[in-house]
Amino acid sequence: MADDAEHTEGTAEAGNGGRAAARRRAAGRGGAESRRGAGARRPSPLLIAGRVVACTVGLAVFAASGVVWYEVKQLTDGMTTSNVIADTKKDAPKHLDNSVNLLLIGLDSRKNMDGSDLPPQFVQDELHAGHSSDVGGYNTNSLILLHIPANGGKVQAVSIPRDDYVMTYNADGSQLGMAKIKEAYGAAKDKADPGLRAKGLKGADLEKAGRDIGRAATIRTVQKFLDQPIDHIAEVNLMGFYDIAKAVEPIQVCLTHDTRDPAMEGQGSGADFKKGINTLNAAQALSFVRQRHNLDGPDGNSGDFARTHRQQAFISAVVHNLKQKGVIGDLGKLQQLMGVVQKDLVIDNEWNILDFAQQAPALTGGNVEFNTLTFDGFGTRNGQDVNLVTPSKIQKVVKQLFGYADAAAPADAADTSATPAPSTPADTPMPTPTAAKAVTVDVLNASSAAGVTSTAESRALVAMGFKEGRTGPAATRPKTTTVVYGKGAKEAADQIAARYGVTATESASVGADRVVVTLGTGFTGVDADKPAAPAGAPSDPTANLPMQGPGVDAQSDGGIPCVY
Amino acid sequence: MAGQRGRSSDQGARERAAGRPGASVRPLAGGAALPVAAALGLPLAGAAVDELSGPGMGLAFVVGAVLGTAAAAALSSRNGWWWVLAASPLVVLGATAAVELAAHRDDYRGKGLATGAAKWVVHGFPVMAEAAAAALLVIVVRLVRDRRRHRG
Repeated sequence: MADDAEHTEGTAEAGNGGRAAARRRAAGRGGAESRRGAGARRPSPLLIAGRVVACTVGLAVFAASGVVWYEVKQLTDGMTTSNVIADTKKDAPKHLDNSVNLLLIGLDSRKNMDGSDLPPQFVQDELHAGHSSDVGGYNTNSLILLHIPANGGKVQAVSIPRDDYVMTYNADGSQLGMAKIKEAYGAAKDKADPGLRAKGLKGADLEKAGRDIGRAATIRTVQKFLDQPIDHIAEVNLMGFYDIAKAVEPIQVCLTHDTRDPAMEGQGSGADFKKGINTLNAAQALSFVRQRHNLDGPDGNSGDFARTHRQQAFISAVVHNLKQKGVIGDLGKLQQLMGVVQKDLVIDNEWNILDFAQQAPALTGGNVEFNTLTFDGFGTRNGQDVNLVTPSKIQKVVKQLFGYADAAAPADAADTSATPAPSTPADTPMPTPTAAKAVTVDVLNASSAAGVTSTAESRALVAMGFKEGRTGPAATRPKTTTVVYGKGAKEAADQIAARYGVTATESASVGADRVVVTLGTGFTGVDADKPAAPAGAPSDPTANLPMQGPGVDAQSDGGIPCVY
Repeated sequence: MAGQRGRSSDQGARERAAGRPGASVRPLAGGAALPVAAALGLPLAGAAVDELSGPGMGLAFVVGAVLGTAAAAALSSRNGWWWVLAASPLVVLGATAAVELAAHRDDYRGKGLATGAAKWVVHGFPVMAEAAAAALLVIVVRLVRDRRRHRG
């Protein structure tokens, strides 16, 4: 009978539905049982206590889980995600350990996520970025690969110079052709555009699909170029950068000299900074990271490269700023910041906010060192100024930088560039046009420095794509290395000269399609060839790596590294 | 079909309750073995299937947890419902933790364990809610049927 009473009560409440009803029922039932107790069997007090405890624990776990779930959902909802990473991971180079590689993509686009143009006046006045929405296109003007080691330790960040001339790849992994690395995104997007349109995509959907193609192309190109897998990406465009800066301004940065770069039609960043600590608002912050004119540093680090250092210093400064404001580690404040930036920030869909929370402390302890990848020299390709690079050399440097010295060590000092890339010979195209391949290079040695031989140099040049010519001692004893070329070999000679930091000269005494390199008495080897050079592994694996300009250590200068 | 299945399990529960007068006050004794096995076994089996087929919990775990909790609610006595509802969140979390720890013990050390636990909670909550909803649905169906039977 008591059961019957319970049925009616339960049914009536269940009609209201939901867990609340169940809970009320549960609570009500406790009362019913005690009432019932007088006439029927009284449940043992132990059982009642057991039920109360079980229900309390169950409810508490359920409620607590709900709160955590809600918080995390709030943080991630509304975030634009890209699902290309699953695809690009399929043929990524193997991970050597449990470290995480994160690619930061700075997209120089004056368009919104849906493909609409940013308000021209805003672009001009606030972004100082030229009012045309076509300027910049879809260039990935900032590419930074962050390597977070598996077991703590310093986070290594490498900037890839945007004009590095490399083999670019389509989203599906097929070759897109030699180009500046920054162009892979836009080129792949453009190429895929007709196909996407044919599928009936338009407007914001077309833009989103196109950008995903661009992202995949960039990921694949960087993966192949550096021979490193990419686990996660974060992409931010000009507008997003401005919004982030707006959310965290004022931001303090430090410069080693006064500088000005007036904004003009699509060029010039509007920079106007003083030596020492500068406090920037969002628009100034954008100038700070975009300036590349009037930036020729004393260390030969000009324009683009000095700008890269600016970007690195800025990231350090922002992290320092966030940490000081207590944003990192405060879910509420972090949520606020996310709310601001999520409209222009794109992350991959496999990037779990909880995983990131685990990795974030590694990034915030001033525990990041930024470096900029080096290159062989400047060159002209398709009428554009580019950085010539040898992928196998870069890959060795990156491996060492990331602490995989053993994997990169087998090559000996004098020989590094002659060793073909160990794993992906097909994927390491030399930055040499077909014409240059026919060029024969003679190497004559006037240097008596240890480890310098004409054959070793010749091998290094063959590895760059040239034909092996004569080798042997030089008849003359020039102090500096000379590069002399015959008819039709100018382009090749320029590339070779860049390797030695000299200028090539033409001479009638040298045959056609031939270059003669004379290693000067002051020649002690090419710096770029020495990643594995020092005998006895140095304690800091990065200390002797060839890099473009000085590294930027997030820990230096009290968290605000001073740059040129 | 579903109605028939519900009816037969309902009848089974009634018969057990009738045959064993003590069952209504001692839900975990004897007749409770089946619901307990369902409530624990199905989610664990689902979790194991998910773990073997790829990292993390997925659809099999959701199905296992929902079916397991619903079956337990269908098979248990009225007093057992208490335990089914109270235990369901714990079972979901426990099954996730047990299978994840068994599969990737090395990943869950120190900070990794804290992050892992947060992940289990975040992924687990919707499953808990679905499992509890399924159990409630079964309970409502059983109550409605009982009332009809009493009126009839």
